[in-house]
Amino acid sequence: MIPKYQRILFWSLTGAILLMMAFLLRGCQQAHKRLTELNNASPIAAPTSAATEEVTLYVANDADATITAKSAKTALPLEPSMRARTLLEYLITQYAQPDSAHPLQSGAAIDDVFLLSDPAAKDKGKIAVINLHGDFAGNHPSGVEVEDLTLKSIIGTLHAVLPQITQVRFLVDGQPRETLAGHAALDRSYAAIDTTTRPTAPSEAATQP
Amino acid sequence: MVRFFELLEAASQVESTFEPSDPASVVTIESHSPTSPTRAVTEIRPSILKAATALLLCSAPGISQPPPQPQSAPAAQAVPQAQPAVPVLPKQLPNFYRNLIVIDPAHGGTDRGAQLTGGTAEKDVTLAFAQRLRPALVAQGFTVVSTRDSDPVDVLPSDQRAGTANHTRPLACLLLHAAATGSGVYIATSNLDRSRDGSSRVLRWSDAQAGALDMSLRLANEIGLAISNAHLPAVMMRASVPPIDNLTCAVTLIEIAPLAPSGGSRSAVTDAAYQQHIAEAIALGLSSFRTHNAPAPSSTAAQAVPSAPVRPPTANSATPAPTSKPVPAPARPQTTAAPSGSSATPVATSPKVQTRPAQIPQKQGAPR
Repeated sequence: MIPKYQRILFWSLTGAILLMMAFLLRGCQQAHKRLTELNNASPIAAPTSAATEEVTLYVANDADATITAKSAKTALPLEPSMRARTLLEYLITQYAQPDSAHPLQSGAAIDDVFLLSDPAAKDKGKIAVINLHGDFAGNHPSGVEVEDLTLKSIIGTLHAVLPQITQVRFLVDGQPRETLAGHAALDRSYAAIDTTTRPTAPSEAATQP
Repeated sequence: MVRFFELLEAASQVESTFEPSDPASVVTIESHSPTSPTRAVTEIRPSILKAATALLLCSAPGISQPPPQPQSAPAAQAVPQAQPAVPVLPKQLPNFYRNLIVIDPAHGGTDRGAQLTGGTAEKDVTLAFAQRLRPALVAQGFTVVSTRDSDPVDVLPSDQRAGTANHTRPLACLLLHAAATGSGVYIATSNLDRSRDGSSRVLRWSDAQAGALDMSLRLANEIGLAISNAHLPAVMMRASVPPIDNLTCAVTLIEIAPLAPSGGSRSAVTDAAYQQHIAEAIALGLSSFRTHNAPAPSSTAAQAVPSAPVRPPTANSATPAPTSKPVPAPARPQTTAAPSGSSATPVATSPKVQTRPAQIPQKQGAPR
C-alpha cells in the first residue's frame, strides 16, 4: 500500500515534468522563429503613398523547371522605370524567402531599370535595360536551368506589368557580361514575351523529319 | 540563266589576273592561333578562287540558279550544246558528316563552372562525362571530336568552341554541363525563334543556330526519348547558353543534375554508374537521330521503295541503330589522328572527302 503523501508527491512531480516539457517546447519554437527571422534579411518595404495593386509574378520552380503565373499584391510607383525596378525587387525578394522553390540569396538585386525607345518597334515599344547588382550575379546559383529560370521569371514578370516593353537586355554593374553565373547568356537581347513554361516530354511523333 | 553565265565570265576574269606559273599568284593565308604556337598556312589556287567567286555570285539573291542535277546524270545532259562549257567546280563539301559528333565539355581552365556537391568543380565533371560518352558513341559507329580532352590552362572561349564545331561539320554537337540543383537530365535547345529570313545566304554569328533549329529540336527529342526509355527523368527546355546560338549544326545542351528518385537513394552527378547510364542513353538517341535524319546513302535508295517505318531503338535494346550496313566512320580533321585521339583544334583543315557525305533531304533545312 502506497502512502497517500507518496502518491501526491508522484503526481506533483509528473505534473511538474509535463509543465517543464511544455515550457521547453515553447522556448524551442520561439528560438527557431527568431533564427528564421534573422536569416530572412529581405529588406523591409519602404513606406509609400502608392496604393497596393494586384500584379502577376512569373514564379520559377527548380524542381520541375517551370514558370507559372501567380498573383500578388504590392505597391508600385507610377513612373515606368521605378515601377519596373520596384516590381523586380519584389520578385527577387520572393525568391529569398526560406520556402522558395527557386532559392536565391537575399539582398539588393536590381540597381536600375532603364526604358529606352525601340526604333524597330512600330507601336512605341520600349527596350528595358536591367542593370543587375554585381553581388546578385556573383551569388546566383550556377546552372543552366536555374539561371535560365531566373531570366525567364524576370522577363515574364516585366512583360505582364509593362506590356509596352518589347525587348529586355541585361547589364551587371553597368557593364555588359557574357553570362549570369556561367551559363545563361546576358550578352543578347531577349524578346519580352509570356515566359510561362511547362515541362514537355519527348514524343515519338517528333522524331520524324 | 544568261545572267548566270555572265557572272561565270566575270569570275574567269578574276582568274586571268593570276599567272599559274607565277609563284606569286598563289594566295597564301596565314593564321596564328593564340593557343597554339604553330602556324597554319593555307594556299588558295586561282582555280579555287574562280570556283569560289562563281559560287558566291550565283548564290546572290535574285539570281536564278540552275536546278540541282542528280548525281547520276551525265554532265552533257545538264548543259545544252549551244552554251559554253561550264567549268567543273570542285566538289562541294557536304552539309555535315553523318558519323561525326562534336562534344563540348563546358568550362575549363580558370572557369570552374558550378560548385557541385563535395566541392567538385563542374569543369571536372563535364570532362569526366565526356570521357565516358566518347566510347559509348564510338560503339555506335560515330567519330567523336571533343573541344577539350584535358583541363586547359586558360579559359576556352565560347566562340572558339563554336568555331571548332562549325568547322568540322558534324551531324550533331553536344554541350555538356552539370549542376547541383534539379533532378535528372535537362536537355536544352536554343531559344532563338525560327522567324529568321530564309532568303538570306548570310548567317549572323549571333543567331547562326536559327537555321538548324528544327534539326536541333529533333535531336533533343531523340535524346530525351532515349533517356526516358532508360528510366531517367528527362526535362526538355529552351535556353540561351553560349555557344549554342552560334552553332550551325544540330546542337543540344545536356545538363546532368543529381538523380533523386522517389524512395530511392540519391545519385550525385559524380556517380560513375549514373554517368555511364546517361552516356549509353545519349549514344542510343544519337544513333536513332542519325537513322531518322541522315540515313546512310545506300539505305536512302532502299527507302525509296515503300517499306515499314524504321522504329527507333529503345534503351533496353543492345543492338545499334538499324542501318542497312555499317558505314565507315569519317576521317577526323587532319589535326586529329584517330577517333580516340586528341581533340581537334580550330585551325584544322576540312575533313577529307573519304567520308561518306550525308544525303540531306531538302526540307531538313541544313544550315548552309
